[in-house]
Amino acid sequence: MAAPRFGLGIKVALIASAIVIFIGAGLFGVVAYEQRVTFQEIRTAEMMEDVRKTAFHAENHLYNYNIRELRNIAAGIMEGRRVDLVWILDSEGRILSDGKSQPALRNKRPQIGFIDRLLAGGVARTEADKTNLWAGTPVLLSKNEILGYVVAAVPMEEFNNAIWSTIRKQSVVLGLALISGIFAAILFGQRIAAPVEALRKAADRIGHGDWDFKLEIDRQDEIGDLAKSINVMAERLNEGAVTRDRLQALVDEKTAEISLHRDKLEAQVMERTRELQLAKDAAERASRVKSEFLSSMSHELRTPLNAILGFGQLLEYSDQSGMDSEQRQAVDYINNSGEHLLNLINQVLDFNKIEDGNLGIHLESFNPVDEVHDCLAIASAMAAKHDVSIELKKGVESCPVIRADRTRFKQVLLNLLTNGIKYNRPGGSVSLNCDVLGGRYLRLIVSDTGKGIAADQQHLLFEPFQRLGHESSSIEGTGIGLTITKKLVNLMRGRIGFESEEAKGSEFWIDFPLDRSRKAEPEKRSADRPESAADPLPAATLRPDGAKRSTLLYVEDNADNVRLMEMILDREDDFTLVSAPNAEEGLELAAQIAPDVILMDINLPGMDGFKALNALQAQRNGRHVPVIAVTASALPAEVQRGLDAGFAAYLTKPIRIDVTLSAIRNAVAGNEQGMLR
Amino acid sequence: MSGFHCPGPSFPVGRLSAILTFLVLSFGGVHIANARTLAIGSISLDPVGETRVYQPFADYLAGKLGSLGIDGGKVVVADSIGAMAAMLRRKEVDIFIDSSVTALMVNELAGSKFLLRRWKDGQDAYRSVVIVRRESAITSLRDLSDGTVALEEPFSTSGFMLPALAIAGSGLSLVALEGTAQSPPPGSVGYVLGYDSETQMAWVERHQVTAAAMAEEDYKALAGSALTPLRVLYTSPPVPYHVVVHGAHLDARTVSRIREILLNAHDNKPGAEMLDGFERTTMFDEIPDDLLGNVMTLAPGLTRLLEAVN
Repeated sequence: MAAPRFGLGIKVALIASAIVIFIGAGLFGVVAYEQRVTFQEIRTAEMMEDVRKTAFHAENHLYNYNIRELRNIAAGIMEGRRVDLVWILDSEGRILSDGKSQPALRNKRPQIGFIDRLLAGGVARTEADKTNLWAGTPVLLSKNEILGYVVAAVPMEEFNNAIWSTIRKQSVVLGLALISGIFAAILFGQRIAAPVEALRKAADRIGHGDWDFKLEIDRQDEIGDLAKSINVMAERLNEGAVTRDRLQALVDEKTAEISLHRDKLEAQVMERTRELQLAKDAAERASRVKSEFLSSMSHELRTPLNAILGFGQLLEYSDQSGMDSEQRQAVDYINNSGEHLLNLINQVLDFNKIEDGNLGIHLESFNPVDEVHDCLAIASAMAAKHDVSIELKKGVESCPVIRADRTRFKQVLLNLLTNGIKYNRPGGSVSLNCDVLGGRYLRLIVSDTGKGIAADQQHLLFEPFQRLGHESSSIEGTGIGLTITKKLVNLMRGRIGFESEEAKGSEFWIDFPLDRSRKAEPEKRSADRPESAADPLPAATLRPDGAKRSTLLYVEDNADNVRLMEMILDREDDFTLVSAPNAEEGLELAAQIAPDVILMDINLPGMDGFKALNALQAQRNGRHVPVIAVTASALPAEVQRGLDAGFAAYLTKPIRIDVTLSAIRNAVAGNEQGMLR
Repeated sequence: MSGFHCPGPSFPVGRLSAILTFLVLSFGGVHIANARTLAIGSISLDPVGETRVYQPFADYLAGKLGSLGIDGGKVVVADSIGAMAAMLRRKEVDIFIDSSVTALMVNELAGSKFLLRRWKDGQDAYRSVVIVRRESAITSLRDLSDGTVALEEPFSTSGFMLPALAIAGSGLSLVALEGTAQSPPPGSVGYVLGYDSETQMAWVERHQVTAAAMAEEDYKALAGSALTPLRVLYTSPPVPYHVVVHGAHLDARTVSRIREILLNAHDNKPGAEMLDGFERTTMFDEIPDDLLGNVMTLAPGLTRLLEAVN
C-alpha cells in the first residue's frame, strides 16, 4: 500500500498553519502569563489603595464605632466591584462591619492566617493564598494606638476567571487568526503549487516524448524562469531526437554485426573446444595405449631377458676355466648388455610413471652409509671395466640420518656414479664426498675427471632425451637418466645441481633433507651382508649343512625359463625341481607330490597364477605350501597385488640367481618351521 | 425635669412641626384635592426612590376608582411629618402610608384618619425595646438619669418615638447630645442618634452609651452576636407596623371604596403582584382595636411633644 501523497500546496498550507499555531500559542502563553502576573500586581495595588482609602474614611467612624457609616463605606467599596470582601475590624480584630447589615461574624475575629499576621505586624500587608488575595492595613489613631483594621480580599477564582476570560477572547482571536492564516496559507500554497503542478505536467509530457509541448507560463519570477528552461530543454531534446534516432540505428546495426560475429566466434570456440576435446581424448587414449604398450613391452622383453641374463649369470658363476678370454669376454658382453637392456627397460618404465604421476615414493629415515657402500660396490665393478678409480672420501662414513626413499636414494646415487664412470676418461677418477648444509641437508658430491659439459649445453642437462653430443658415441645411454634422477630427488624433497668445466670434469651434488629428530650415527653394516650384489654367491654358502632335499614345483609355460631354473637348481644339491606348463597340471602335481615350495608364473595359459594360488590355498594339503611368484609383471602395483594375494615372495624377471635362491631357501625354511609348529 | 427638649437644628422634628403648624393655619376645608387624580403621600428623604416604589400602588388604586371620577394616581413625597401634614391639610395628599406612630403624629397635625393596617414585609405589628448591658445596675427607665441613650432616628417609631415617649412618660427629660462623648445635664437623660440599630448596639457593647432603643426584631437579630451580654430594660406595647390614613377631605364613599379595594387587593392576581412589588406588602386589613388603642394612648405624649416643639 503506497504512502499517502501530499501535494506541495497542502505541505505549504500545513507548514504555514503550523507556524501560525506555533506563534499564536507562544504569544498566547506569554500573554496569559504576563496577564496573570500583571493582573495580580495591579489588583494587589488596587486593593491596597482601596484599603488605605477605606482606612482614611473610616478612621473617625472607627473611633466613634459608627457601624452605619462603616457599613456604608465598606458597601461602597464593594459596590465598586473592585473587591469581593471588606472587613472593618476593631483593634482586637473583631468584625465591626462587612458592608452588610447584621454580619454573620459580627464581633467575631476571623480565624484566618492573614488576619493574625496583620494584627501581629501592625503594618499594611498583602498576601495571596490558595483561595484569596488579601490586603489589609491598620487604622492608626496615633503611632502607638490602633483604632482597628481594614481588610479586603479578592478570591483567586477571580484571577482564573479573568484569565479564562482572556483565554477565551484570545482563543477567539487566535482561532480567527489561525483560520485566516490557514486560508492565506492555502491560497499561498495553491499560488505556488498551481504553476509547479503545471511544470510537473509539462515535465511529465516531455518525459514521455512530447517534445513539441510548450509551457504557457508568463511570470517574472523563478517559476517563469523554470518554465522557460523547460521549454528550452524540450526544444533541445526535440533537436537531439533525430541525432539520437540515427545513433540508435547505428547502434542497432553494429549490435547486429556484433551479434553475428559473436555467433561465429561461439561456433568457432565450440568447434575448437570439440577439436581440443577430441585431441585430449586422443592424447589420453594414446597415453593409455603407451602405458599399456610399455607394460606389455616390459613384460615381453623381461621374459626373454630372463633367459639371457639367467643363463649369462649361470655362465658367469660357473667354472670358467674351460673358457678362453674371448669366451669369458663374451659372457661379460652378454651379461652387460642384458643388464643394460634391463636398465633401459626400468628407466623407460620409471620415466613413464613419472610422466603419468604414478611414481610412488616411500620416505623413511635412515643412515645412508650402507646404501652408499652398496652403490660403490656396484659402481666399482663398472669403474674397473672403464679403468676409472673410485674414491670414497672420509666424511661419507659419518653421514647423518636423512629422510628419503631408500631404493630411490640408491638409484639416484648409482646413476650419478655410473654417469661419472661412463663419461670419464681412461685412468680418470670418480670421487664421492659428503657435506652437511646448515644442519638441514646432507649433500652428496660426485666428482669426476671426465670431459665436462660445454657451457652452452648445461641448461639441457636435465631435459629428457638430451645426450649432449653423445648421441652417436659408444657410450650407452637413453638421455633420460638425469631427468629421472632430478624428478626422483625432487619427489624426495631434495635438490640436485652440478658444476662443470669442459675438459676438466664435472661435479654433481644432491641434497637430502636431514631427519633432525634422530641422532647422527652411522648404521653399522651387518656382518652377513654381501659386499656387493654383483659378488658371486658361492653355492656352498647357500646350502645349509645337513638339510634334507626339498622338492620344488615350477609352474611355467616358457620352456627356456624352466630350463634356466633347472640349471640354477642343478648346481644346488638339496633341491629337486618338478615343472608343469600350466596351472591346471601344476595343481595336479602339487596334489600328487606335495612340494616344499612352488614357483608360480603369473601369466599362464588358461588359469593364471592368482587363480592357481587360490586353488592351492583351497586344497587341504596345498594350503601351507609357500608359493613364490616368478613373473615378468614388474610394475609396483602388480608386485603389491601379488604380495596381497598371499605369495610368499614376488620375483620379477629377469631373475637374479642369488635373490631367487635366497627367496627359495627362506620359503623352505619358513615352511619347515610352520610344519614343525 | 420632664418633657421633650429639642436642642436646636439637630432635631428636625421641631422645624417640621413649626412648618406643619403654619400649614394647618394656612389651609382649611375638606374636599377632594384633585378630582381627577389620587395622591398617595409618603415621608422620605429619597423622593425619587420612594416615588418608584409607590407609583404602582397609586396606579393600581386609582385604576380601581375610575367610577369615582379618578383617572390616575400620583405619589407625593414629603421630607417631614409637618410637610406631610400640611399637604394633607391642603388636600394635596389623599392617602398617606407610614408607621403607626408617625401616622398618629400626622393625624394629630392634619386631622387625617386611620384607615387600614398594612402588612409591610409580612410584619403586622412591632414594638420597641430599651437594652442595657447585663452587668449594668440599671433596672428601670428612671435609672437612666444622667445616662445616655442611643436612639435611632427621629422618624422611627420603634427607634425613637416609642422609647422617647416611654422615657418621657417615666418623668425624665431627654436632652439631645452632640455625641457619645458628651454627658447630659444632671437629672436628665441624654440621647444620641445612631441612625442604625447595629451602631446603637455597638455603643452599648463598647460602653459608649448607657442604653439603646430599637425595634424588638432588630434586637433579637443582633443579640446573638453581642460582644457582651445584654438584657432588655423596657419593652413598649405593640403597635401596628404600618398603617394607611386618609385625608380628612375625602368623602365617605371614596374612603369606603378605597378600603374595599385595598382589603381585597391580595385576593386577585394583579393586586397580589402589585402588593409584592410594594415593599413586599402581604395585604391590608383592619387595624385591630387593641393595637389601635396602644397607638392612641401615645397621643397625649405626642401632643406634649408637639407642644414642646412648638
